Amino acid sequence: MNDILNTILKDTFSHTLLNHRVKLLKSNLLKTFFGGASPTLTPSDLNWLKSFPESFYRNFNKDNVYQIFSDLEQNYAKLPILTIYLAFEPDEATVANIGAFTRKTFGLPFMLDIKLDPRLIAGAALSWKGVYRDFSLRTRIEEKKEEISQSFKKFLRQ
Amino acid sequence: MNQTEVGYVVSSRNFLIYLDGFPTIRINDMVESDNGLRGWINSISENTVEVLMLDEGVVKPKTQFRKLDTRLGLPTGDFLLGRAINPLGIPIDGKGLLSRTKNVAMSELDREASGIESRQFIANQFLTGITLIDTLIPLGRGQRELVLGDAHSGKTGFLINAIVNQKNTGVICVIALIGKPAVTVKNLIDVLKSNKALDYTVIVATSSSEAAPLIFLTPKTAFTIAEYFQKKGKHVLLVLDDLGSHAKIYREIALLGNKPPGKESYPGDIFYQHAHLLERAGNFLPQYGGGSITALPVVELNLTDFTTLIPTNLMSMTDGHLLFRAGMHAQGQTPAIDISLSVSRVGRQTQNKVSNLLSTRVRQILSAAADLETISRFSSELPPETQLILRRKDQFMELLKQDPLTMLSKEVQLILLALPFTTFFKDKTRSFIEKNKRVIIDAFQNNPQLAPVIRSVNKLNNEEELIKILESIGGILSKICQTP
Repeated sequence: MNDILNTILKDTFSHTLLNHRVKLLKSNLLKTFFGGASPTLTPSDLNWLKSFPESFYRNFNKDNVYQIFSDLEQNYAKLPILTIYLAFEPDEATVANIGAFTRKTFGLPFMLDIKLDPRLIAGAALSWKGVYRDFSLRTRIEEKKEEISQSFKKFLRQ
Repeated sequence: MNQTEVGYVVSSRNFLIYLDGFPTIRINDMVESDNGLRGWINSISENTVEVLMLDEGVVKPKTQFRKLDTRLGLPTGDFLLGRAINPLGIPIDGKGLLSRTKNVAMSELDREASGIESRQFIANQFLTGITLIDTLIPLGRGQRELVLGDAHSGKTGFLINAIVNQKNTGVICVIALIGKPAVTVKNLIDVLKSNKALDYTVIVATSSSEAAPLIFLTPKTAFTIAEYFQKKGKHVLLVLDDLGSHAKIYREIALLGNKPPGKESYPGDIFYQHAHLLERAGNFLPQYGGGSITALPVVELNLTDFTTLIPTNLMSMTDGHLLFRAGMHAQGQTPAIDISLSVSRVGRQTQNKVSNLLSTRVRQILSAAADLETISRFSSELPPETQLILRRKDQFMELLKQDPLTMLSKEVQLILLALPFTTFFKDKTRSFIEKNKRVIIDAFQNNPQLAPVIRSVNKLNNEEELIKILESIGGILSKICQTP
């Protein structure tokens, strides 16, 4: 079970993407085993499905497919989530970069949850295990509010 | 860097939401979502915290909530007097913001009741100005007396009367209106204002349309305010109207939270919730503020049945109860209190000797008359002693009737109850008293000839001395009374 999850997690960093990919893999396997309408796949989805070696698909058969996905869903629900608040909406490549960097840096199995918060202005805020830390420009401005307003006043007086 | 604790919505059910996160959160901490919806922590399990929402709004899964610096509480101070607020201290009377200073302390709503070391013997009577209560079912300062009765039995009228009669006594009144219609709140404010009782009163109200968790907090807020004044050495009268609605709201919250239902579908800790609340009343030692909180929780009965769960629970956690009857109220008996089924377990120790002896005698007559009630229809054939008991019962019941929003001093109350034992009243009928009661009361309050009698009442040793004095003024009474 962990092998399957680890294989999926190798290039899947965000929680939303993980949900999407598990559903995709499941529907693809169900179609293979039991037939039915083909799901509409985007090129990136297709590439992802093709990226797995044949040995990976040999883990699944008609009898265990439902059980494996049920266990899989339970397992990945337990993964801790690192929520990153950004002032912009990152593209898939940026998310992958952030994911690869954070996993390499911290070495823990966790998922990213990227959220958009334009109030941050710039920078990021992180939320990990119920603790929210704001490293954004907004906070820096808040911290230096007095200093900035003094500078402005000084500038206006000149 | 700005650091705070956050949690994300895992699931939500109406006003109840479950969050994960919040590593160091405690019960009664407050949380708020990005769009300003507030909630308070009701319970904590291994993976989630249960939050009861105080504001109405849509909470979607994964919404972020952050922990607030303040815990569940409200600012307390003298500025609350004369105001009507909601359980979070937001004014609801349309008089604008509370005129508080910046340094007002926040008081937590869910405080644990002070321990036995902070309490003292209840030794002073809490005077309501109502003859029936002050003489036959007396209340002590710091007592908890349950007010229970049918709908339309005059409970609210009695409570308003008791509050209005605290004028110029220094007593602070706090009223909790729990899930009442908004019009009831408005009417109460108007009645208190027109009787100049608003100046020493604080109203904490929630209307029935508000969120259940907010309604649930109403009595807690009222107690917190009462404790503020008690700690300043004030005597406080606290009315909780009514705990039946409060129990129903708590049942709603508990059932929604999947707590196992018990008797009448109430959760198992409903007794704890009410006992935990009422324990906060009492008479306190000077080093703990020195004031007192006299609590009058109210519960409305369903079809006159007082043997259901909530009324019996409340009876067992209070120091007595006053049972109001709609039937008596309909017959014009105000206050419509069933004396034989009402009790005060603490108040009698606060009465002086004359009051105590006189009320015992009156109770004995009322009790004897109740036994003789079945044979009373043959009154003309009964022995004179029995006829006298029945006549005196009628006289007492008439004397104990009191118009709404009237107050009688303790001395006048005692005189009224002693009058039926005098020769002048021996053969007087109920209609005679009905006709002359007002005149007699006026005479004792204003007639200079009777002033010495009033002055002497508190110096007497027993009720016989009082009856003797009243015998001596039979002439004056016969002059002022009209014979039918």
